[in-house]
Amino acid sequence: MKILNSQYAKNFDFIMFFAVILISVTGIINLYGSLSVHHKDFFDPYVIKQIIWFAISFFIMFVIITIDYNTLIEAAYYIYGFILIFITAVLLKGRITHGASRWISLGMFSFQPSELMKIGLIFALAKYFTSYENKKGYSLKGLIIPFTVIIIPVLLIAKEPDLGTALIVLFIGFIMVFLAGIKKSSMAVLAGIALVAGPLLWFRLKSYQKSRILIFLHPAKDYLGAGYNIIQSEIAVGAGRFFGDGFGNGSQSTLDFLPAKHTDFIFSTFMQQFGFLGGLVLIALYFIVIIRGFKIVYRAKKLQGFLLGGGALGIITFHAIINMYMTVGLLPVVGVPLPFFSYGGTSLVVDMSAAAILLNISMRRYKFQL
Amino acid sequence: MSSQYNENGILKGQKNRINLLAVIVTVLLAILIVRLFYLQIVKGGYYYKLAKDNATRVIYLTAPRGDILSRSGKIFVDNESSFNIAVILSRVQKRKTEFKFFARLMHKSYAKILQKVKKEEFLPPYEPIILMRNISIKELSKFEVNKLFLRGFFIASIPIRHYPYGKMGAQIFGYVGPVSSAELKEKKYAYLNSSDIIGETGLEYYYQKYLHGKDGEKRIVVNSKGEPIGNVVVKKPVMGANIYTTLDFSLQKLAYKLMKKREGAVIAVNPNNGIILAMVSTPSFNPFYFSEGISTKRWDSIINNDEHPLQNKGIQNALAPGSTFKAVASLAALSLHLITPKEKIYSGPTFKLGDAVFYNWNPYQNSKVNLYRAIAESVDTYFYSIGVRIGIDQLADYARRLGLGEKTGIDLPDENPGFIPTKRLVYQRYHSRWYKGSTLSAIIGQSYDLVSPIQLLMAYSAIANGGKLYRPFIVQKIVSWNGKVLKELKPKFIRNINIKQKYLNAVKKGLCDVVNKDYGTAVNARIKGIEFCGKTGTAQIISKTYSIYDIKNIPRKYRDNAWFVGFAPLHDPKIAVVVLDMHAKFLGANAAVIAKKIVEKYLEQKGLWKPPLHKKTGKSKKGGKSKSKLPSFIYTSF
Repeated sequence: MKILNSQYAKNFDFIMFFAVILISVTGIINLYGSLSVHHKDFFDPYVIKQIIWFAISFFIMFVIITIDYNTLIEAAYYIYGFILIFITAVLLKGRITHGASRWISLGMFSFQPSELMKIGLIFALAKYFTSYENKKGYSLKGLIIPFTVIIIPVLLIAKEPDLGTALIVLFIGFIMVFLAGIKKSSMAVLAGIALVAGPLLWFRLKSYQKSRILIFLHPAKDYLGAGYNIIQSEIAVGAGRFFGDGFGNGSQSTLDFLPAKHTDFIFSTFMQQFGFLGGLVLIALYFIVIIRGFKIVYRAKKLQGFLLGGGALGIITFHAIINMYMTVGLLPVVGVPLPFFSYGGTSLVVDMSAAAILLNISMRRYKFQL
Repeated sequence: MSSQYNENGILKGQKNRINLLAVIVTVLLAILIVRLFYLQIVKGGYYYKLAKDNATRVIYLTAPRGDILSRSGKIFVDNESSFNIAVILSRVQKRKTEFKFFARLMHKSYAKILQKVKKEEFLPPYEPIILMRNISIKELSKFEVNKLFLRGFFIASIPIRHYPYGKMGAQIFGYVGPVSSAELKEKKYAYLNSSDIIGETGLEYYYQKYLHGKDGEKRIVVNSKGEPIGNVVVKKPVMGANIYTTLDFSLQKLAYKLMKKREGAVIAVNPNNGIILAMVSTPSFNPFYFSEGISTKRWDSIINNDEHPLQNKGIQNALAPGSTFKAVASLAALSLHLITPKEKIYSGPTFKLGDAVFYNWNPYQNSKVNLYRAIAESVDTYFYSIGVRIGIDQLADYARRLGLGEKTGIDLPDENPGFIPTKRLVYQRYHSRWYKGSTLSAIIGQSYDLVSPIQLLMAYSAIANGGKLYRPFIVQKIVSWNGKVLKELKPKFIRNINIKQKYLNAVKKGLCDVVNKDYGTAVNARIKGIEFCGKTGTAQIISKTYSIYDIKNIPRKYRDNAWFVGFAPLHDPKIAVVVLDMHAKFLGANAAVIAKKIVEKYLEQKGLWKPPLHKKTGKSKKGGKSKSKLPSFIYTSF
């Protein structure tokens, strides 16, 4: 098997791989430690589900690594199109039932197709930019198709409504455009559009979305309302002090003061239990993953690998930084999970897939020299 | 980061962009670490405390209040358990069904119960809401049987003030009530919690610090819904101290029984040391209604009662002493050598001063009388003739020596100092100059004279005991729950009144004649075998231009106040009693009968007197009543 090829094994980024596994395992342990006091049980459904998801995403990772990423890029438009249909279906289903339209229920598990769109998008853009390479940088005219590719899923996701994910998909798209190359004049025009569109977007926001942003600016104004999340999160982080309250002793999570403690605010629960010291270790692990990612992208041999790797790295990096920033009050609250760490299957699968893509690229960087 | 393959398909500019992004990400992570440093190291202590506050709730355990007891240990006020049905909302699973079931079970309206819950909904959900207070045994058993269907409901047994004798002495013991937010801010109440009750009047107020005890504390760990996860009792409550009053239980009971249907006050004291033996004020109120916060309706009915049930009339009320003041006037006149006891002075039915005519209470008075007779028959005109010779300031001096017009210092709140007029004081207070005629009114205890019953009683005690003025006191000792005596109150001698014994004896003889001579004004108060001495008094409420006082046609509130103050036995007095019978139907002589009954009871208890044996059922007092042929239509000031 190709995977056992010594050349592949030699170039496989074990450091990144183990860092990812370490973060995931820490995440499961931390999840156990943050359970509410009255159902602290090793066989808690949260922990069990996360272990199963870990196993599933590990398997997906394995599958992605074994397939040459160039083969995957060949199928990019199909992947993109398939996920787009998926999202549209979910949206229509939500329209009909007037219910939440982000999720697809798979019996015991549920799944968020909009998360998958991130993967679909980086494949589609990588394929497009390698197919229509422009070494001098793209003009606005040349970017019409890629922008359409980006904006369709963004609008659909925003309609769900899941503004956080929509914005992240948009950012990932921009990062890939940036990496592919864009003319300075075009960049200036885009910046201008963003400046005009920002205020316009504000009026299109739902009231809870507006309040999230306002509350970010003045959390104490609405202590028990919209400001509650961010205040409770900062309390949890701060209460950890240097050494932390100890495993399982994060009162903010065990006593349920912290909302979304398993998903969006899992970082805060970790910080209360393990303190500044634990935080440094965890951030160091993310730094290792990200810096190894940069190295892989930097060393990627072909434009395909460079762009795909850049997009995959973008997914992980955006998730990590936005999530941690929001839990410590540096960004408004958006529903973004902490990669490999937060509870939740879809995000674990997406982030693991992104990591797998990076590992895939690193492993195959000498392919054509053999 | 150089790679030999980097030319292959990838531009240099693209690689630079990667480097740029790597730097940006590194800087962003560094900012994150700085932020964490700020939150966890710089402000860690602050957030740590916030997290702990988040999860802990302090519940104060109210210490049971101390008891108030008689001198022998009989309970006047203690605590009892009241059973209340309470609910903790966070434990109720299906609010609507459970509350509906509860309402049906207890025959209450569902809407009303819901309203009660709504009113308390700002409370944290772990805090119990009391739905029904003081439930009956029947309701209790009904609840217990159905307890399984009422999750979150429970019986809360709460100590509340219990008054075994109801209204008796309510103003003396005082009432308690939930502490108000204004009181909580006071420095002296720094030890109180918002859930505490506090003594508002009487002994409950005066000895609040001792009665209260020390509250305990329970810390509860709660989750965000306020559901208790566990709890730790940090501090056990310490019971309040018991207060042993000086009151004699049976005397107190008797005094209340005698006064129950009247408006006024009775105080009995040991004249040799100021120990209060009984003190009642009527009409009284039920202090129980205050203990959990009184309803507006009840409060209004008490506060708008013009007989002032909340007032302790024995000490908080100052009014004209009427003829009881004549003992003071006599002492002044004797000391100033204006009269001698045996000197006879002509006293007619009226006394003229300039154009003004002053009447004697008894229009048939027309003879020369000496001091003894003048006191015994309460001859007003005798005293008027002293009045024209005595200065008001001199008279006030003697009244003040006896403690009139100043606070006695009794250990009860809001004592009224009264008022004894001097020229200067009257000018200061009423901006009026002094007229000679006013002295004539003052000498018979009218016009500006205002004394409280306790002052009058202590003055007569001083006369009885040979000239020593004592501070009256009502609490003898305060004993903690474990038997430690925290405070013991000793009699306090204030001063010698500085009046010669022979003058005191002369006045005492006159006072004894009041009761024991057939022409005395209180013959009906005679006690067989005991020399009971005292003075009746009738104080006008409104000045009358007419001399006929028709008791049947005058509004109750304008009826005169009747007094009696006296002591027994003459030699070696054991008890002194004051009776104030306000707006009385029968006048001073009747007040004397009340005093007599109290004196009899006390001396009987002490083994100093026995009721006559020949009448087993009927009491000897009946005979006394027939003797008192008081003409009720006469304007009296005897």
